[in-house]
Amino acid sequence: MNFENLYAVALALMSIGAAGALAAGKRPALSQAIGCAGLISGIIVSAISVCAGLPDYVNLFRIPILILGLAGAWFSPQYLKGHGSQRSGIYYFFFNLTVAAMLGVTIMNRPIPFLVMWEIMGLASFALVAFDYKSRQVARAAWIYLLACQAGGMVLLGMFLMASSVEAFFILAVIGFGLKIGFPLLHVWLPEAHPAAPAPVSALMSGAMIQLGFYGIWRWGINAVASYSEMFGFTLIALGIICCLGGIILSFPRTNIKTLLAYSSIENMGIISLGCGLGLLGLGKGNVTMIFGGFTGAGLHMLNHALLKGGLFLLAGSVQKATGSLEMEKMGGLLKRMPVSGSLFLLNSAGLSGLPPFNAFVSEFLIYLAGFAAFTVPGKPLFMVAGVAVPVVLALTGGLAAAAFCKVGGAVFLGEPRSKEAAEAVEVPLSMRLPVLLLFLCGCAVTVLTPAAARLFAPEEWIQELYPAIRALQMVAVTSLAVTGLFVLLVLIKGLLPRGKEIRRSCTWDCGFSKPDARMEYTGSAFIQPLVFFCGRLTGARRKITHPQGNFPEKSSFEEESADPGMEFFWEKSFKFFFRLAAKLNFLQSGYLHFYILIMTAALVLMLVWGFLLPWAGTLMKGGF
Amino acid sequence: MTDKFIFWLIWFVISLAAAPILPGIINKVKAFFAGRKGPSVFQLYYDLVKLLRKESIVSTTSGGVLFFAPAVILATLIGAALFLPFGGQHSPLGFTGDIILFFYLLGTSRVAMIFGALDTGSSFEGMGSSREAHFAALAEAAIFAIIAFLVLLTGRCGTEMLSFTGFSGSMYATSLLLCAGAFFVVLLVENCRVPADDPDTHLELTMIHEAMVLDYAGPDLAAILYAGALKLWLFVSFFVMLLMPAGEWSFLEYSSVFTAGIVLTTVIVGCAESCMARYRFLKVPQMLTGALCTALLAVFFLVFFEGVVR
Amino acid sequence: MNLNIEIVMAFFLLSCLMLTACSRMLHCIRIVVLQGLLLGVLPLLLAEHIHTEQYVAAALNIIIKAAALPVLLYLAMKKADVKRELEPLVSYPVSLLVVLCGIAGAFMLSAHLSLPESSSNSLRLVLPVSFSVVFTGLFIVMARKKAITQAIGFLTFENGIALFGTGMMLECGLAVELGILLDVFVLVFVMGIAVMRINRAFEHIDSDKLVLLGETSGGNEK
Repeated sequence: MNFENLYAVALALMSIGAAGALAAGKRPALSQAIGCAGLISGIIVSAISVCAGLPDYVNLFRIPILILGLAGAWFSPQYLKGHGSQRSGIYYFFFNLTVAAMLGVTIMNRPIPFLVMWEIMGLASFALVAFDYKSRQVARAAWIYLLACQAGGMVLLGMFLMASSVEAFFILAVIGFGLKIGFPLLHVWLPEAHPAAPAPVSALMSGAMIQLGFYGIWRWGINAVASYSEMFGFTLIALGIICCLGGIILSFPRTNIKTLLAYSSIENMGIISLGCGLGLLGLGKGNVTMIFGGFTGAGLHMLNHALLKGGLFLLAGSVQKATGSLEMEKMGGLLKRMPVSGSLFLLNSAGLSGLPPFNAFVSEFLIYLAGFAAFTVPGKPLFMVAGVAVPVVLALTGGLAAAAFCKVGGAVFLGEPRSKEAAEAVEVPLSMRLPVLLLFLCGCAVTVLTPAAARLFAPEEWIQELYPAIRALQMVAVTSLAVTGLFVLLVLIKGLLPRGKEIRRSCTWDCGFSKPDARMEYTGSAFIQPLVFFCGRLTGARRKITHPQGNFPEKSSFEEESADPGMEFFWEKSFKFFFRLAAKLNFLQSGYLHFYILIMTAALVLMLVWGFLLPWAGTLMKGGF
Repeated sequence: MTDKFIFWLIWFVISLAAAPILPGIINKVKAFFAGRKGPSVFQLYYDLVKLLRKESIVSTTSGGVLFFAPAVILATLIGAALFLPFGGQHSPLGFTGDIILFFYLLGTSRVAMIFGALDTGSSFEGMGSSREAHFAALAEAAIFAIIAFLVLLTGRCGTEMLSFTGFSGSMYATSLLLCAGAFFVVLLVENCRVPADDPDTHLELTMIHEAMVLDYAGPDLAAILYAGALKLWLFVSFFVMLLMPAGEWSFLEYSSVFTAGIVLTTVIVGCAESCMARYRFLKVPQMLTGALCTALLAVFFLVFFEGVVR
Repeated sequence: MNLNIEIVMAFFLLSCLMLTACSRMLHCIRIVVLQGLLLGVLPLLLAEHIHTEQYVAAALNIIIKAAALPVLLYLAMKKADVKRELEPLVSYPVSLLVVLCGIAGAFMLSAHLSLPESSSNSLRLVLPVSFSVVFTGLFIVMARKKAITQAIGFLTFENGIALFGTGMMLECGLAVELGILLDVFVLVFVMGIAVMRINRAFEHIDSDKLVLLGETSGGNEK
């Protein structure tokens, strides 16, 4: 039996669920049931197909979609309760459609169906981003997202139709798919759209959708033309370095939990890009460790990022549900009030900083190995540069990410609550905790199962050469378990001490103040301030200070605001330029129908002339399809 | 095989047991410079025993991290210690790339400590952890530049590389010296010694590490103090292994040289602590950037002057 | 032999890094002294047979660069009563990275230069380092505000050139060297006087504020 055909069944099931949900839109509960049923049955069917054809790299992209789709379907009903559940029909229609289209993107093997799926994915997720369309901010975010999607679509269309050389193909693929990934300057939609979308949607988009861009680059930019040059690898590495450092540095001054997480997604895409770049370099030189470390590391990091970041976005949704806000400076002390969600958030954020024993360490470890292996390629100075730059950048990124996540974790979950809402927060219902727990457990499983999976994915003839790397993965898994075991052991040993079980509760020591309260705490912004200062203007933070003046100063103030430098210095300026340019073409809008028809005819004639005069365009079109 | 394993095991056990001596040595050196007699070298042992007999005190603000953090910190540090090539022998658990795991485990312990500090809601602990997070990120970059250098030098990428460095010939001496200098700076910062942090200060505003552990008591504090000593031991051993010549050593030779190296390095740390003032906090990132640059300089030397182009 | 030169070169590069990271002028001057001493030692290390010429070169270098010029700088510093470069145009960590990139560039450049066949191994060591020192000097002149720091930058720049000359062991090396040295000497001298004058007239020695002289209405809001 051909398991590939099962995907068609899955897509059909999801679409039926979508249509059913829309049709039953008048009765939210029913449409919810239909939507979820369609989605989950579709996911189960495609999971069977994925398992059947496991050692295929495409599945690394499919698994996050399925897991996050499932978690989203599970999480959504409770999340929507209270805001927008009466519009469940529309929500599930687009949610199912998004998941189905994402799956479709990984299935379609020809350009036009692929592009169609890509567009459906963009448009359906646009509708989801705009779910709370009444808020101005959401409307703006959705608008930017739509622009980014459409621009990406245009570039991809251009790639399929017109690219005439391998390099052109690659460059257009990097721009077109890079708009999804969030490569430098193309990233501006990410920090806008993720906070605007409902939590399960941001989880799905950040965890599974943006990395489909890498699938696109690999499948259409490189594999389809079956040729690549060393420069591709270096381009990806350079982009990856900027993404890693830029993403995490820009995340520092943000105080909205989801905006910060969105920037951290950009950072993780950078790490994946580093892995892909190293893998490509390895392919050129036939260096097995680089190929394996780079590509497996990148693929695995996609999975890990999906699990961890998906979990974090869902948890941000839980926090929003519990406190009604995403502003981290207003929170604090939520760990006490939401113990399960809180501890999962802290664990996930430690995991996403790439720390052992969590899963993201495994994938970063592989990329490190690939980076160090670049030294062993003889006679290549640029390889050596990559070999030094990648580990140093990865390490710096890891440290900075840890700082950023300590900021979120600390500001939101630790210490004393800074607002009434936070003080009165209660734990979210079970169906919002279990999906996150599921994602976290999957993550733990990844750490343990990676060595076995690596054997499965590595081709037979490489096993010999890859022995050290695979043994390393085994040892990482063993050490992770051992350290966890040691931790449990130490906690138990503490209980055996003479007075080990006695715990006296007392207030925090605060240098003689009798009643430390929330206003004396270090806030998230204060926590990250040294790093913001160190990174200077790169963070996009700007401050307005009114110094106290005179002997009896009356007013002094301090304000800090942060904008995305890419948005501010590149896009807004260039848009302004184009608006001015467009204003000059205003004379075309004369109001006479005759004139409009003249313009259209002229355009048609021009296109015909172009088509005839440049016959190669025609042949390329034929060849392309 | 078994012999080697036993050598390693002996030194591993000695390391776990002897780590609390190092702070004692540093304090003794400082006392000498100050013209005092100073506490016994074994003072930390007495403290540990005393603390282990007490009960824990946990802040009412805490959400539970404070309770688990000491165990995480200690577990990750002992886990990291498993990978160093003690006694000149490869660790039995060693593998390709274990040096990455080694430093990342230290990272885990640091994040646990930061979360523990923020859990108390104290402004001082927030201050300390904020600085710690900042400096650690930069130190991490310097460390991995050093590792990149070592990989380039030895062609291996596990902790076993440490048994292949050192002044056996004069070939790579200069670059190795630069690298060792960079590592020494990282050692000082990571272990919160002067000039990055002053472990003896009396003002919470100027502390880093000490400010983060203000709210631990009893066995928890014992775990934290021991973990600090162990971390210092790990860094100092790394430093000594870096500079010890490669070659065949008998167990006795190795042990005596290694011990001497450890004591000497600790004394140097103590001297630095006695002779220098703590830098302003703004200076510390600069110092770490300097360490990163020095490590990269070592790479340049290796590639361009000493002709290591693989 | 090679090892000694290598170590001297390492110290030279380290001195560059320290100079870019150092805000306290007294330390900067000490680093310049270190460079002068290293420059003095170098001819003795490089030459196969040590003649009087090498001794003269070494003595000259040490007297002028490790003693006379630093003392002048020190006096100027005392007179102007500045101790630190507080707000450089380029912050210190960034400066460090820029200089490191410069050093990397210097290494790559000299690896691509085709040297004469006869050039010795030691020349290959000295060449990239001298480029790096020159770059560092120029960078300091560009990135710092205080006149004294800029003078230190010029001095470093000159040290780089001197290093190049010593390393190449040019026929007329000493003559060229002396010419440049004279220039720098005059420069530092003039700078010293100028610093005092500027200081007396404006109560500060930030050279970037000289811009204000060009404007008719002095903008004093800074």
